[in-house]
Formats: sequence, structure tokens, C-alpha cells
Amino acid sequence: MEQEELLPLLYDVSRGEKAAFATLYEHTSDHLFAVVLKMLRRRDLAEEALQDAYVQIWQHADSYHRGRGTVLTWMVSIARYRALDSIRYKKARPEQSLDGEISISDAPLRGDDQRKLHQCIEDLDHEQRQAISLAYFHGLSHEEVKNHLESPLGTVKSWIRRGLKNLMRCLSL
Amino acid sequence: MNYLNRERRHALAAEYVLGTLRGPARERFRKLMMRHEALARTTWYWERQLNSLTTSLPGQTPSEHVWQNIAGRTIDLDRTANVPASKASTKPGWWLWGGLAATFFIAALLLWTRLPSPQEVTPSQIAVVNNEQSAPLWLIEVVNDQLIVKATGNIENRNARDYELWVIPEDGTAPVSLGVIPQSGIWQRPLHPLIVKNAVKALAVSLEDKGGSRTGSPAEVLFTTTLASL
Repeated sequence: MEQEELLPLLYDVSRGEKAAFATLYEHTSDHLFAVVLKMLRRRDLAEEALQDAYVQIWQHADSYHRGRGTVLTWMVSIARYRALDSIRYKKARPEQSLDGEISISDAPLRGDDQRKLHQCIEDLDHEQRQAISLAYFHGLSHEEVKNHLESPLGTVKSWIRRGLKNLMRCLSL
Repeated sequence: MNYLNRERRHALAAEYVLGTLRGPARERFRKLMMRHEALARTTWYWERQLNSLTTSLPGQTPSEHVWQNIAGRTIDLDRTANVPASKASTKPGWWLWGGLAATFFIAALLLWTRLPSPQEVTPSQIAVVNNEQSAPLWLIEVVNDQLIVKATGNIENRNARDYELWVIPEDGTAPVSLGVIPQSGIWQRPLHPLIVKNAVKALAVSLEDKGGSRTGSPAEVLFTTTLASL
């Protein structure tokens, strides 16, 4: 479901319309669940984070505005922050091989902004792109990225920091 | 304030969104975001960029009971007590108050809802661009050394054209472009020297070809407004 359909739905949710909330859940929960499941790697933790995220979306639907991105990216933000909180407080994620990890550059392209983002990510050094991808999609900390890539902590931090900086520079051109 | 340095702001906000800013540093960042609007805006920038990457993930269906739990915690509860006071005022009838009242109401509402810490980010000057029916289109604020333009939902969306903002100098010289302004969302730029020097007669919005004026002059001026000090 695209922004043009999600926005009126979210507006109705902000007015407390229950049917709109159910429809919003129906059309977005698979996506949000995929995001948090990848980060938390356990269905029970991911479902808990998903519940918290939708409760927050219901309560704060009226705080959405375009500056936060599309309705969907705003909802992804809420879900990811819930997952990061869960990682912080529970710290119980099963070890898992992250082979076959999704590279950021696999993202399908929608519109000029996404094409630009894609291009800028393509332009990053391989290590920078990989470190950012592991942190973003799998919720890995600096320390966990270090273990996964078997590189010194300082190097990993620098890949991420410089990668983000290069990304910003490229996006602003 | 060190945190408002642009580079530092972006570095922190990006790692906050990415998730690598952790522990007490993450908590400190959350507090700072409530105090400093610029930090919140920078965070939104990174949310917009990074979180659009998740579109590549194949969907995963959660168990049935997840929705039941969510419904139990939300729509089954009486929510009316939590509705913010501002909502009661957004009924269509408020247009009847007239253009001026509407302008100030929208300005106040935007300020109230968007700015977490009014003491720190209160604009020094403000202008509202209204259409012929006195419906507010853009709210323009001068905050510290920044010009912030916020689009309202009343703007007629022109996919093939752009709206451009101009300064009309007080000395009667030609209008100076401040750039193409968005048809939705928020736009922010460092203050133009004419605004800093308080040498502005008016602001104008023109309709231009995509990408903005090609001649250096406005093609079709649609609206004008003036900056008012607060």
C-alpha cells in the first residue's frame, strides 16, 4: 500500500477510527514484522516488539507529519526503535549465521529519492556498506559487527562513521 | 552548543537511527532531541533515508494472536480521554473565524505541536503565506540563523511545476531567490543576508517550471507575505 492510501488511513486512525486501524495493521504488519524479526531473530520477541509498535502507532498517529518520511517509513522507525529497546533490555538473541544477509543495495527503487540513495550506497566502500548493512538490518552493535567481520573495533566504528558521512555527502549533492 | 554543530548532529543522529548509538549515549541523545529541534529534524532526515531501505525485505506474517493483543490494548479501551485538546479545534467550522484568526491559529498550532521546547526554538520572526481564500499554505519562521518553511496540507500539488520563494528587498531592487520550496514537509536553509539585515520589504512565492526560475526573476508571482517579529 502506497503513501496516497496510507495517509488517509493514518488520519482516520488519529481520529480513533477502529476499522481504519485494523486495515492499517492488515496492510503493514507483514512488512513491520519482517523488519523486527530480522533484528530480533526470535518470533516471540519480534511479536512483542510488533505489538508495542502498533500500540504506539495508535496512540501517536496524530504526531505523524511529512517531515518524518512516508507513513510506512515512519511506522518502520517506530518498530525499529521498539526492536532496539528489546535488544537492549533482553539481550537474548539466538546466535545465527548472517550469511545471505540482505545487502542494502538490493532494495527496489521507487522514485528519484530511492534511486539516489541506492546510487550513494553503491558508491560506498565495500566494508562501509557491509558494516552499515549488518547494523541496520540485523540490529548489530559495533561489538557484534566487529565479531562478525573479524576486524578491530576501532576499524568497524570508523567504517560506519565514515560510511554514514560519505552517504550524507553524496545525498546532499 | 556543541551538539548543534551540523557535522556532529548528523553523526549522532545517523548512528541513533542505525542503532549503533547505544546505552547511556542513546538515552542522552533522546533527551537532547527533546531539547533541540535541529537534532530532531536531523534524526527525521536519517529516518527518511535509512528506513526506506526496508522495502527490500520480503514480508513475514505474524501470528493471529498479535492483532488480538494489540486490539485489546488499543481499540477496546476508551481513548477519548487521551485526545489532545488541539484535535477539538480542527473541525471545518473554524474557517469561519476569518483569514487572520486562521493564520495565527495555524501558526500557533504548528509551533505548539512541532517544537518540543519553545524557550529554545521560538522563532524571532514569522510569516504565513496564504492563498486568495486566506487559507494558510506555508508557515515561514526565522529561528536563530535558519529560515524554516513548513508546508501545510492546503497546497495545490503541482507535480510538473515548482513553487519558489523570493525576498523583495526594501530598497526596491529586484527580487532575490531563496530557492524552490516543498509542496509538503519542511525545508530549512541558512538565513539570507537581506533577512539578517532586516532589509526585506516582503516575501513572495512564484510558480515556476520544475527546478525553479531559469531567468533569475519570478515567472508568475502567486502570493506575497511579510515577516513579523515576535
